[in-house]
Amino acid sequence: MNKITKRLTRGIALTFLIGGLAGISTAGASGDEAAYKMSHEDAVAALDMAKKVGGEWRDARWKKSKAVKVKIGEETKKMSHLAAAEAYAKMGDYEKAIKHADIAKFQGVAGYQQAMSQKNAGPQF
Amino acid sequence: MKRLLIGALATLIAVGATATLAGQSEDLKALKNYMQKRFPNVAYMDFANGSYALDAAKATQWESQRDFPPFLDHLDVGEKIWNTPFANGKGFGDCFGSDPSQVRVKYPRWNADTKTVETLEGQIVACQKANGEKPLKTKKGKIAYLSAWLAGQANGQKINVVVPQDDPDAVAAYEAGRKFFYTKRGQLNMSCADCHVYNSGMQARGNLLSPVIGQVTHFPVWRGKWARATGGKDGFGTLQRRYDGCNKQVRAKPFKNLGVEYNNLEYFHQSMSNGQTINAPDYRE
Repeated sequence: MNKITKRLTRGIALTFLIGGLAGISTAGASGDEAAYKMSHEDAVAALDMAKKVGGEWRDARWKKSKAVKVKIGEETKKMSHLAAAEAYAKMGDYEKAIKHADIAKFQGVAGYQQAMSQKNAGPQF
Repeated sequence: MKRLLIGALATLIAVGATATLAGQSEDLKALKNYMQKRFPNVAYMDFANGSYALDAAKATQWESQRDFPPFLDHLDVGEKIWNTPFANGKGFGDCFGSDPSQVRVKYPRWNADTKTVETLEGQIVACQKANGEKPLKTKKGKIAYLSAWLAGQANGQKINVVVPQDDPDAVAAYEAGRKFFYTKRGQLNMSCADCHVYNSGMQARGNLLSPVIGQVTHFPVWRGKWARATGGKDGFGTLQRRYDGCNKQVRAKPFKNLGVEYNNLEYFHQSMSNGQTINAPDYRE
């Protein structure tokens, strides 16, 4: 009984491992793109929340932000994290695109939480 | 019974109105006390000189700058804009009254009809639009020259921003501006008050942080920093241009110029200099 359980467990683990590896290998570029799209959507949603409460930060998606330098062709442009995410996605560099979308999302969440924490702001003297 | 209820309601409204009046005057009183304790050697009316009232060495540099103000030509342009008739034959005098020395002191003010705070620059733009003119850009350039010239005409007069105590919308606008001033924002998690109340008189890199009282008396201001960005040609900027810069410095997304957030902030901010003397335009670092 013990042996059977062990074999079964190994079999199931192996199945999951193979399945997982197959999943990773088939995901490829389209998987990265899907992950980026999800990160981008999350970032926009978080930033919209922050905007609603007047809590957006400068470098998350403000058009005049110069926080991130992105080399596009021969040119290096300065832009916000969200714009950088979009630029890298356009170039097919989803790793960097996701990284900047996630920073934008973090800043959106943090900006919203900050604004909420300041609901009763007033003098402290 | 009805009369009793109406009477009680009227009393409540009156008490509420008094409380809000106390709000503005109490805010100013509390700030004044705080600043006078923080800077016991600074005469109250000298707060209009900003950080130069706190540091003798900086004051010497500032006074030498004032011997040869870099903005006189720009003031001439401002005066010319004021005196140039619109295409329809009217002029700014038709919007603001013919005496330019009485314009600056009216703003910011509450407009009970539109339920909004009116600022001087906002009304310059509104006047142009109402007369079919192309409105000036709102933060710097010609609008700052005109506004600075008007402020200069009002020199020596006292700032006196009125928050109508019987108008809850006006009080709400003032309160919104007050909240903005004390709200931490941006990646650096700093409020206007963090610099200009709690840390006023301290160094932020090479700059001495000015106290909030008296900050608005010399606006539009000629800043050395802004002048350097244009090769020395133009250092003028409006108060809301400065808000923009402060918000960017704490890494918050700036709000729209002449939008409701900055107008309300200006309403509160200027009223915290009530009683201070207009001494505009002036030079700042």
